[in-house]
Amino acid sequence: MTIGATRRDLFLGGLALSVIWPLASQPARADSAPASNEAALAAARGQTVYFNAWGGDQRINDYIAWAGAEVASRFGVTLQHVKLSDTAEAVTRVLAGKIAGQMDGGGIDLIWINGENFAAMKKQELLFGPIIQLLPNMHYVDPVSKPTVLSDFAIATDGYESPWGMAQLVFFHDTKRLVHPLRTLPDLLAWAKANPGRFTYPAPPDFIGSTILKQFLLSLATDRTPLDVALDAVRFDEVTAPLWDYLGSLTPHLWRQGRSYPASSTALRQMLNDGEIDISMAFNPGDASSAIAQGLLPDSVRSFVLSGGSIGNTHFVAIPFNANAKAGAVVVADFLLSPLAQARKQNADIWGDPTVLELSLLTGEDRKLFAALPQGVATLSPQELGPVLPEPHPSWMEAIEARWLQLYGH
Amino acid sequence: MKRILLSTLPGKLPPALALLLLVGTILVGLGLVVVTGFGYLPALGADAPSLESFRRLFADPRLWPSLLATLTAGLVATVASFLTALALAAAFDQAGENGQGWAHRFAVAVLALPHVALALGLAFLIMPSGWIMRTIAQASGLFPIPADWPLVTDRGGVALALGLFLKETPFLFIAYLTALAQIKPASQLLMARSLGYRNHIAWVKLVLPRLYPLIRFPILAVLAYSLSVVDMALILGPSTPATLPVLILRWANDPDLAQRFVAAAAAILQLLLVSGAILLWLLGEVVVKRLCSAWLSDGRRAWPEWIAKSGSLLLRGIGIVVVAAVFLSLLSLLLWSAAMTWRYPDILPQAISLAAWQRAGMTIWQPLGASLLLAIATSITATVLALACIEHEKHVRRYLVQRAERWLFLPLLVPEVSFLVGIHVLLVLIGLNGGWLAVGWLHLLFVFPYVFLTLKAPWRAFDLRFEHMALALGQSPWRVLWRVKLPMMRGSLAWAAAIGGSVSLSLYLPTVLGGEGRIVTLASEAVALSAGGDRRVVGVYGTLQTTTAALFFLAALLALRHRRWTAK
Amino acid sequence: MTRRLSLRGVELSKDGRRILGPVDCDIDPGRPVVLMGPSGSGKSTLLNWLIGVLPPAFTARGQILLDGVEIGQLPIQARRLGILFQDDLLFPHLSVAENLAFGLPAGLSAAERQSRIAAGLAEAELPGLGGRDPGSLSGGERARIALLRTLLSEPRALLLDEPFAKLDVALRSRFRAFVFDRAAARNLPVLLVSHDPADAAAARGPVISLGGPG
Repeated sequence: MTIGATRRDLFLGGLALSVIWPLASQPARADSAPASNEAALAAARGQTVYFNAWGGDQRINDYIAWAGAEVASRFGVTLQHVKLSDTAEAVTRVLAGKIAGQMDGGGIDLIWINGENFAAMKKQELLFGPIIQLLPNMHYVDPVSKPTVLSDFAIATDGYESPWGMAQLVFFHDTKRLVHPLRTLPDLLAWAKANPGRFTYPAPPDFIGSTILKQFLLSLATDRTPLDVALDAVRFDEVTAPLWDYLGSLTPHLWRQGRSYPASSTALRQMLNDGEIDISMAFNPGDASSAIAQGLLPDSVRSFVLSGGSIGNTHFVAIPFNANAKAGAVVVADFLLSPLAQARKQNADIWGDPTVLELSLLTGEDRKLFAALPQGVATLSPQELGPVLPEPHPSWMEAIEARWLQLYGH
Repeated sequence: MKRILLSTLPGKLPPALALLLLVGTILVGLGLVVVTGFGYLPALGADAPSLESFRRLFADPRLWPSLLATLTAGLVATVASFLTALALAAAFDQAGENGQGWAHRFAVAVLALPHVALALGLAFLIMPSGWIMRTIAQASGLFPIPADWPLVTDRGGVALALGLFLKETPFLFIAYLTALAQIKPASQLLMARSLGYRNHIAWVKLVLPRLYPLIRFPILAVLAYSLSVVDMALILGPSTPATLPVLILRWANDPDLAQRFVAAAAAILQLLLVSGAILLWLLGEVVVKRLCSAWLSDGRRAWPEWIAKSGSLLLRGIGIVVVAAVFLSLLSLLLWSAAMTWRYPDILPQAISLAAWQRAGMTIWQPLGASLLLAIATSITATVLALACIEHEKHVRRYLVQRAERWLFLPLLVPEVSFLVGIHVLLVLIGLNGGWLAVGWLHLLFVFPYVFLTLKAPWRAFDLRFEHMALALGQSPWRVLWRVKLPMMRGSLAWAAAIGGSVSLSLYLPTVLGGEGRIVTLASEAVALSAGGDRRVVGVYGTLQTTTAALFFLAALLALRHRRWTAK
Repeated sequence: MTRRLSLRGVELSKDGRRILGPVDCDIDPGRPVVLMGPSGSGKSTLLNWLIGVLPPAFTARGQILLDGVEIGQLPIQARRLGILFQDDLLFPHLSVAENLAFGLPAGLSAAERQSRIAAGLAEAELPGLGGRDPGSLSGGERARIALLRTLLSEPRALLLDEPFAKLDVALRSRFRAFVFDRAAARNLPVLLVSHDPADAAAARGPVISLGGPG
């Protein structure tokens, strides 16, 4: 008798919930995709744009907050920064929306993205676009001088991404303990042998960890051409042999004898600050200067790059296919690309992230914004940064990461 | 007829609702994960069930070392905190009410301390460039640069086990004291002593066998939690490879969408791991019971003197280490929040600055408000719901109560990564994703069992004759509840609500998945910011998180102390 | 007006086994009926059933008649059967006066409530104790306040669940006399359960003896 009562109660409970649910779910606001920038500007006013961007750096968060205030006063768009600890979380959410058949009114309007995350979203058709023809400020971008603005990790963006900033792999050293920068990999190896336990890199597939493998591979390779195209499984061993040889001699002299690796590049920076290691690295040439300004690194830290060029790429913003406020997202993306926003972003005191714009295409007025920028104490000049090496084709990276996991990752 | 319905108030709906809300949600989440693990997720183009994801999982070189580290850390932490809390409870039980006071207060303070905050503070304490090593370096002149020793994020998971041990020992200690208050062992102990038994041995032989059944569930919850923890493992646990729950989260968030199948398969493995560990524990109980049954009645009345002495010395030592480690961890967070620079080997910051607090002052209000709103709303909802469930028991046979109750604790035993990912898909399907209701709902899944657990014992101990007397005096059931039972139970109610609030304050994964990052709390901000490696900002958030939780408990203590709130 | 509480064919079972009854009796004011039995004979459970709070493990059958009207289907607060337990059960969070006020029927004016409480305290020879905390009273005082609280709720009969058992011997006979005296003054039928032969002797009414369990 009591069992029966329980079943009936469950039914009643279900009934109660089914009454609550429809009330709680918001009706999806129809937001027809804007066909032009003018249309976007008109539709954007009053919209709230949820910008999903990695939130691990207070400087960047402050910059996004500034951009939010600007787009609010200029275009009447409310910018909400959704702070991610991993961009892939946002990919997961858009995917979950697609699985559930949510084709409009999605929770994410704009994503800070590049590399594997972009490749995944593009492949699964999770993006809205192409969008770059809706962005007037794209006129100041030159794909010839900066080819990575249209090619994200060797994958054509096809206009689905709006470039936001430039990145290049840079090493940082504490001049108190490592006086002279190490410009070649043999130098690094010799130094590591003499100073065991003072160098390491984040465990791939962490972004910086993977980039280090790529950098080593490109620096050691005698012929880089096979890496520009899709993986050739037959030649994998031959092409990557220099990398494994080098790691084989380097690893025993790493931090904790290479038996453990830090989880991320920010952990690495913290370790440099704590004096547990002597070299760290980042994908932003201005990183050390702004870290010094904030007291996150000693002021004795300086930057260096490997001779022969370092890996570089571009990071972007993109709009999910089911974004609720597509017009607002277009307006924000265009503002982030404007000379004003780009110059502020490059300011070493604020963020120090290099611009994607081609300065020669700017008006004199706009160019002055960039000329007046301070250069950080630990930031290398464009000449010192040297040539940019393009990313190898992503298919190579999967195989290299898998091999690394087999050899060192467990 | 209507009047009879009134008299069985508050009716049968609440327990059923609670069951549906908790169990239903988790089962649906698990179901979706299992389906995905066996390769079925049509939206990703996978519509043929297969074992491919398991094949890939078992081919991953990280799996076995990861499993090993997960198991060692979880088991070591559980066994160590079980034994330590037991020994401490025994010692304090014999010391009487007065001795318990400060230990109880300390344990409650640790209960309020969020896992993330403790982990961050502890990491700074024990790392090669941390506080302890700095002190040694300054005192000895050795270590001009930090030693390359695996003191945190070690491959064996020892640092993680230590963090869990510090956090779970006080939790178990409180659970034991609560259970002890129920069985009131004093007269039995007196009897044993009059038969010539020494105190310690009498406690183990007489009190422990009665105590254990009451404390079994908290231990199993600690075991399940220690094997499934994500946030602490991110900070203290091994990185090469990470523990299984962290790997699952990575796979679930991998940009390569095919990895989601591996994540689901690993989530099933995680479920098996926890179930296996629980079974192992229960098996251990049987073995210990077998081995000890003869010893219990062999008439031996005292340990050898040296064992008793060194045991009590060891216990004292461990007690001091626990208190000192927790206190110093917290202090380091507070100091970091006010430091400008603080580098090896300085024992104190070189420069003090309130910049981190000032910057937080601009951005803190939204997450603080969200945290408070969620904590208050979910703890009140959970308290009301738990109260309705327990009140309902009066009308139901005992074995039915116990049967239903087991289900309510599902959220504490099932690894959260194993079902939360599935629940997120469910939320999207019903259009609740990214909203307050979704986050509140997910928080309730975790808050409710703790509140229920806290409220259950004192509520059942309530002398029902007070209620019968009040009803017989001609008052309506609502009025009796409102005027007699609730005021008399206000201490337990406030306590349960405070526990619930502190649980809600520390929830990371449910907040992030339910709120899709649009709802930001102190906990989610603390973890997101800890990725940025700025200890000062993390110090601010950790300090604030701890203070907020502490305020909840302070309020509960005030409610306990304020005896006569109806007096004029 | 005369009152009469009657039990007709009352039986208690636990898990399908009868543990008490059948009991038939009529209880008139001034002639308390005493149910005598050892502990475990179900006599306290019987009182619980009478007031309407039978524990779920038990089942009961039979009729409860008050002035010839069946009240067994009424909710507890509508039966208006006053009860005293072994313990005084004064609400610890309320003052003495508030405890008494809790028992008073609703709908009285504030002045009327005040005067009834004052009259009650005087009747119990405890004037001026209204503002005290129950915890500060002696055992005898608490027992009298508990009785007073029940009487002020204007019950139609009085059920006594060994209310004298915990008092010391000297106090016990005085309080027992006080209870029977007050109940008689208010014309209330009294049902007393006890295992103390002295209670039965003092009640000077019919005694029903119950067997042990089984």
